Amino acid sequence: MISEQDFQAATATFERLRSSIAEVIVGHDTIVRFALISLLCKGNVLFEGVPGLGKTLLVRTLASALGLKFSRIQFTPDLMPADIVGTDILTEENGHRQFSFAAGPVFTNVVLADEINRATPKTQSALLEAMEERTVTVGSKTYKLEEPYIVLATQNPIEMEGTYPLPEAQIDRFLLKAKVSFPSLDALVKITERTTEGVGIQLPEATATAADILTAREIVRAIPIAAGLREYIARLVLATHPESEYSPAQVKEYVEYGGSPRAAIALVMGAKAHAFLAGEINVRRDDIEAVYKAALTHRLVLNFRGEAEGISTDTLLAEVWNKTAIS
Amino acid sequence: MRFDFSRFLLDIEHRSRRFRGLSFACRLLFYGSLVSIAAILCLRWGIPDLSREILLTALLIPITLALAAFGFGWWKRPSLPTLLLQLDDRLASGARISSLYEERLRGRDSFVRQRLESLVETLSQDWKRGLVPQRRTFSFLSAGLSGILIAGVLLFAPLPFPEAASMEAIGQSESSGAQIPQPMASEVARPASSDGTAAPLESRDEVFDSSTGDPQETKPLGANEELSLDSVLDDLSNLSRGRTQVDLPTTSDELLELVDAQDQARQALSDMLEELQQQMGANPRPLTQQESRQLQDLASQTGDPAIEDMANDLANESNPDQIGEQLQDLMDEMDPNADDPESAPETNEDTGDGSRQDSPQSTEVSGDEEAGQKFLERTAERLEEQANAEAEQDGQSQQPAESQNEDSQDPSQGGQPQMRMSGDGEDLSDTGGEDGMGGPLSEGPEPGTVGFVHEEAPATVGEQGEFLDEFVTKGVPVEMAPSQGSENTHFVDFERMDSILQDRNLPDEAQASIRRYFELITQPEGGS
Repeated sequence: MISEQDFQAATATFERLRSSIAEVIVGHDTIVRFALISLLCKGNVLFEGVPGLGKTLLVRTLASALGLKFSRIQFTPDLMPADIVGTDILTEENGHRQFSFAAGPVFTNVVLADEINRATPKTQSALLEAMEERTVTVGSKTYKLEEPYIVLATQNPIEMEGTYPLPEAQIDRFLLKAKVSFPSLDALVKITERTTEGVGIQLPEATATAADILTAREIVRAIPIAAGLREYIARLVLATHPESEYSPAQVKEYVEYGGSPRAAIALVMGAKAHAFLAGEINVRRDDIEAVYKAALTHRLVLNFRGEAEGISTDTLLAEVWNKTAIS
Repeated sequence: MRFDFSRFLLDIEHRSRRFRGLSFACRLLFYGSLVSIAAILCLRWGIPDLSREILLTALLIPITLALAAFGFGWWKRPSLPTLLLQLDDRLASGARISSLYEERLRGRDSFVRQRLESLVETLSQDWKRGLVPQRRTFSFLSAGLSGILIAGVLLFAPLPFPEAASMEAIGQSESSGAQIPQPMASEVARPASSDGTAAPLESRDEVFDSSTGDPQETKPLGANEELSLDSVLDDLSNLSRGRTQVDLPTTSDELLELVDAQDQARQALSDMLEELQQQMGANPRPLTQQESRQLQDLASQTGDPAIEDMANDLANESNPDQIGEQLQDLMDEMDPNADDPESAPETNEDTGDGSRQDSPQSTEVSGDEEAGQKFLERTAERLEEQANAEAEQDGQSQQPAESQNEDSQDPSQGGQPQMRMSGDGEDLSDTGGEDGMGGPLSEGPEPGTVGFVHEEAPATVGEQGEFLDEFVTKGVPVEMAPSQGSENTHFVDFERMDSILQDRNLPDEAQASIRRYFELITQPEGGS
C-alpha cells in the first residue's frame, strides 16, 4: 500500500528532476512536463518541431537526469529496421560459427528516435513492438526490454522535404505529442547565454533512479479519478469521432477518424500523472485539460476536405472541448 | 467527531431531488398555465354555458402538473457521480468530493482517502452554494405564476366575453348579412328610435328583458333592418358592463310627452286604418310598400306590442281578403270597447279611500298601462285647465257672490250639485255626504287622484229641486211612479233594495245604514 510518505517522496523526486532539466532546457517547461508524464505513464512521446529547437538536447538531458541508459537513433531514408532493433549475426568462437544477436539501439531505457519521419514507414514500424509491448522480436526470438523504457521521438513537420508520414498504428502508440515551439525572447537570450559562455551546456547529474520511477508509476496509477471524469473523458474521445452523437459539426465535417481507446487511456493516465506532478492526490478537470490536446492531436485523422482546407486538429479539439460539458 | 460522508451524500441527494422537482414543477407550471389560459379562453369563447367549476378545473391544470412534476422530480434519483461532479465543478473543489466518493466506492483505505475526507469536510460547511436552483427555474416559476394569474383574471374578472349566440350572430352578419336574434336586434334598434323621438315604453322594457338573456322575451327583428358590426359590438360592450344605455324619461313631463306621442300615433293609426278600410271596401287590393311602412311606423310608435305585431302581419299580408280581416282585427285591437262595450272587464279598483267603485267608469282606471297613460294625459290636461280657471278666478275676484254660487252649481264645472228630493225641501247633500254612501250621488274623484274619474252626472236638477232628467243610475232602488199630473213621482222599492244589498253581501251594519238612509229620505207611505 502506498503511504503518504511514498507519495511525498515521489513528488519530491520528480520535482528535483524537473528542476535539473529546467537548468539545461530553457523555455520548454511544457515539453519537459510531457516527457515526464510519458515516463510516469509508461508511454512514449513525440515532439514535433523544426530543426534546431533543442529537441535532442531535451531528450539527452532527461535521460541524463534520470540516470538511465540512453541511445539515439538518427532516422534517415536508408535506415533499415535491423539498424534499430538489431539482428542475428554470424560469429565464430573457438572454431564454432554461430548466430548471435546483436541488439539494436532500442535495447536501452531511453530511446531518442530523432527525425523519425525521415525513415521509411517500414523502418519506422520497427519500433512498434518496442514502444507498445516493450519487447523486440528478431527472427524467432523475442527479447524483453528493460524498464523503465521510453521512446522519445522527434519529427519535422511533415510538409518538409524528405519526410514520410508516420503510420497510424505507430503514431497511436505515442502517448502524447507535443509541438516544440520557438523559444521566446527571454528564453532565447538565456539559451545563448548558457551555450556561449563558460563551459557550455553540461548535462545534469542523475537525480532519480529507475526504482524511483517505477514507484512513481505505481503512485500515479493509484491516484483516484472520479467516475464522472472518466465519463467526461470518454465523451471527449467519442466527440472526436464524426459518427458520434457527441461530436460537434466541425468534427463531422473534417475528421476521418477520431481518437482510439488508447486516446482515452492516455487522457486518464496523463491526467493522473499531471496531477501527481502537481502534487495533487486526485485527478481534476484541469489535469485533463492539460494533457487533452497532447493526447489527442496526433490521433485525429482529417478527411480529404479537412486536409484540403488546412484545418488544424487543435482547432477541432478546441471545438470538442468547448462543446463537451463535464456533466 | 469523524466526518460522516454518507450523511453528507444524503443531504446532497435530497437537496438535488428537491431542486430537480422544483425545476420540473416550475417548467410544467409554466406550460400548464399556458394550457390553462388556452383552455379557459376556448371554454369561455366556445362553450359559454360552462359552469365556473369546470373553468376552475382548467385553472387547476398547471397546479396539478406542477405537483406531479415535483413528485416525479423527487422520485427520480439523480446519478450521484454526475451530481457530485457538478457540485465539485461549482465549488471549484478540484473534483475532491467525486474522488472521495470513488475511493469509498472502491473500498480503498489509503492515505488519499483520508486526505480527501479532510478536504471534503472543509468543503461540506459551505457546499449548499454549489447546489442552488437554476436561474431558469425562477424564470419558469415567475412565468408560470404570471400565467396562473392571467388565467385567474380571465376566469374571475368580468371581462367582455360575448355570448356564443352573439358571436354566431356577428359571424353571420359579417358573412351573409342575415338577421340577428332579437336580444341584439332590440338593443340595436333602440338607439335608432332615440334620435329625437321617444321610443315606445314597451320596447324599452324589452331592452331590460333582453339584457337578462331570456330568449322568451325576444322578438325577431324586422327583415329590413340592417345591423352594423360596430353597433352590435357597442351593445355587447354595454351588456358586458352590466348597464344598458336606455333613454328613459326621467321626469313626469317626459312621461306625459311620451304618452301624448303614443296617443297621437294611435290616433293617426286609427285614422289610417279607417281610411284603408274604406278603400278596401270599395276596391280590395294589397297594401302598397309606402302604406306598409307607414303602418309599421305608426304601430311601433303606439308602444303596444300586440298592435305592432298585428300591423307587421298586416303589412306583410298580400291577400286582399285577409287584409280586410286583419284590418278589422287591428281596429278592434285598438279600440276593443267600440263594438262590444260590455266586454270591457269589470275591475274592483281600490279607490284609495277605502271604498270600492263598482261602476262601469271604474274600468278606466284599471291596471292596464294604456289606460293609465290615458288617465295621466287627461289628468295633465285638467290640471292645466284648473290652473287656467284659477287664474281667471283670481282676475274676477270682484264678481258678485250669487254668480259664484250659480257657477258652483254648474255640474259642468266639476262642482257638487245641490240635490234635493222633491217635496220635502230637505237638503240631501249633507245627509248623503255623511257616510260616503251616496250611491249615484257619490262624489266624483278629486283631480289628480288616481282611481277617480271626474264624470259629469247624466242628469240635471230643476230650480225647485225636482229631477229634470233621469238622474239615478242602474242598481239604485229609486223608481219613478206612474205620472200624476205634470210632476214625476219617485219612490223607493225597499224589496228590491233588500235584494240588492243581499246580493252584494254587505255587512249587516252597512245594510242597516243604507236602509235607514232611504227610510229617512222617503215618506212613510213610500212615495217621494
